[in-house]
Amino acid sequence: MGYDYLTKLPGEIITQILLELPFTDLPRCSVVCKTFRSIVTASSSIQYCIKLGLLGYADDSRNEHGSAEHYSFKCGSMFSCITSGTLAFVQRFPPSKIASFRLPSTIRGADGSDTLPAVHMVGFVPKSATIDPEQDLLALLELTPDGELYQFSHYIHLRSLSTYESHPSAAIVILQVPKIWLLFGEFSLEYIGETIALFARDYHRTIAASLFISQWTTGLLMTRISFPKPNIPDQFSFLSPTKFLLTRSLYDPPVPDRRDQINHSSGETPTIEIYTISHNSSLNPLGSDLLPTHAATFMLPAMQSGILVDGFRCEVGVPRVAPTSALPRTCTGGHGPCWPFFTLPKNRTLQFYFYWDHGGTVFFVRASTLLDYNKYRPAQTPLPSLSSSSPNPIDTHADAGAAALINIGGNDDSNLITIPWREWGPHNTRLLDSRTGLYGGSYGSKVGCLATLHANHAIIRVPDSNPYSLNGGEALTEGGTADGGKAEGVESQDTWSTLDHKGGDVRSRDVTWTSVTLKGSLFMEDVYTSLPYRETIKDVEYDGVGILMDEESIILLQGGYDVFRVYTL
Amino acid sequence: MVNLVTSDNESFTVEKAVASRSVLIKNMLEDVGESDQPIPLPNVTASVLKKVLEYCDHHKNEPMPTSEDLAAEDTRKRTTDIGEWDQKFIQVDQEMLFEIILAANYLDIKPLLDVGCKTVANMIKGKTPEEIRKLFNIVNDFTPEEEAQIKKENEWAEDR
Repeated sequence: MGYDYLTKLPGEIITQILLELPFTDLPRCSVVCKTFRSIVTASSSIQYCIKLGLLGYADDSRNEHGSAEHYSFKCGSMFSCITSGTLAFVQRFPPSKIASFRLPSTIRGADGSDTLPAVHMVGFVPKSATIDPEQDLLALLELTPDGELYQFSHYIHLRSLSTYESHPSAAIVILQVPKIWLLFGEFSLEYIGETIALFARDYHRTIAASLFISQWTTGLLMTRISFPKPNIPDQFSFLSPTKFLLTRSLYDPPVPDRRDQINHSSGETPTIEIYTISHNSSLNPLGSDLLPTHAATFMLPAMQSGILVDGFRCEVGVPRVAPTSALPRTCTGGHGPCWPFFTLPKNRTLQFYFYWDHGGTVFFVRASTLLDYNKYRPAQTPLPSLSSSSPNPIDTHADAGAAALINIGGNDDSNLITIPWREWGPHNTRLLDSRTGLYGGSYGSKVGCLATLHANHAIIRVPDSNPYSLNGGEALTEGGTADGGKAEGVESQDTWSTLDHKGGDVRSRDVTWTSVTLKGSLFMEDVYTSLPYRETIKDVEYDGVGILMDEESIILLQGGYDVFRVYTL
Repeated sequence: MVNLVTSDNESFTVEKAVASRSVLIKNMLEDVGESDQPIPLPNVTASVLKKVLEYCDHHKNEPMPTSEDLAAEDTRKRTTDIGEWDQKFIQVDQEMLFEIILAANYLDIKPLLDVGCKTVANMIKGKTPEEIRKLFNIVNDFTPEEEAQIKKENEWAEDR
């Protein structure tokens, strides 16, 4: 056996050798021997190199793909979020990684600060997480450590996103969950103000879903609601600390696979239900049997097979459009609305998706900011905020935007129809052309649509829409008294006061989506602003799965969320 | 001309331009001024110095890297960009390779140190820990438990 020269070298030379390696080799080197390990873990330059590499700043992963304004990096994220130029994500590879950083397009601070990304390696796989870079908050749902007592329980805890320290004033919330959730649980975590909610159900929907609402400052469970079969909600979303909405189909699809969206039966009726949480139950440490008060239900009429879509002047909520000769007069729809809701909790945006897949594809996205989220932020943020220097704090204006996409008559380019923006009715709906699919993202008044034209080709259109003015409007209402709503003073400004201001009880069957959207009752009152209209179109190579947006950047999530591609708007 | 004396008492007489590739020697020459005094190099053997001087002689006409160059280089150096001549030059056995690295470090010949480090890095690149140990005769001083633990921590890198 020969002599070991390498590890006998001075530490600084070994460091220099290791720094010549691609960052992916470094973890392997740390397994070689203790000398290497201590150098890899102790050397700040090597650690920095790993961090930069993980975030895609290593030379070899930088992508010069035509546009000078974009770059990409790998992350393999489970959860991600962008707010005001701060991107945060939780990576799924064990050990999980949690990172947040200012996007380079917005970090050109005079002092050059904020350029160093924050990355934390964590030795667990969170079941769920929610991120708020604006508040420097990270809420995680984890399995409790092994032990008899907590064998089948999860706990929620909050940390600082930038330092990864436990939040000083947050309590740990421990939840007992059914055993089946350990394997098949789907969890979504959301917080607003000091209230945090966990919506949990099993993937196969064999047992009742549960909603836990608690205060993260005290750890007290405010309420635990069980949703038995068959009407298990699809999605939970806070509207305010005391109001939330649930979306669900009134008739569960026979095949309980919600990812099989296209093949849903058309018999279901998507609904939005609004609940008010009573403050009286808020300090019951054992949980509460008190159900939140049901405030309203909106039913979106099912678009059953054969429904007439006359130049899209249909009665099911697609905005009206001036007749265009290019459009067929009628289009008979097949399925949909399918999986129509998608909320983006971070900017309180509700999106609707519709598909027709008979006689052409229509894809319609409407997004609306539900309320001013800033209003519910705690007055003081105890931990330093990463983005305190953000040049563009979230605007407080309420707004809405929409985009639509249409492909009438199959997969022939010649049949693609585009309706100019201004002709698409008064409702800021943009019709985009596409062949196969569309992904939408929204931020405030902006709606980003990604239309995949060919397998790897996409058009991103980002209409910076001009929020339109709605004249209050009348909700289609019928008798009765509204419960909740205006009774709470603090709520009078948000979405639901508009709903109730006529004093009417909104009965589900009386409110079609058309009336809801057109009369301004579902959404917050839209405020006219003088934002100039701007549309950004980029042709990119893309086979992505989603969009994250904020004021300046649009991030395409690609390849199973493995790659972020960042474009500057 | 400059007279250099190695640890094994062999003396080399080389052009000043060649010897000055070493920042250590260059500074010594500047300090002592014009002098015929031999410069002792107690950390370098004759066989290694011969090799190092071969490198210095080949590169004697290139401009000396300035401190700005060195700072800029840190950000963009890559393992692949070793010059053709340097690659041939550095094809030596492991003992000589590491002796050259140590000598380059001692004599402060940054470009040569870089060539040495890059060569070692290229040997490490892409190899498994076991292959690295075998190549460099490194003893695995981890217990099996420690090794398993570290491997677990590093799983994230294996998917890339």
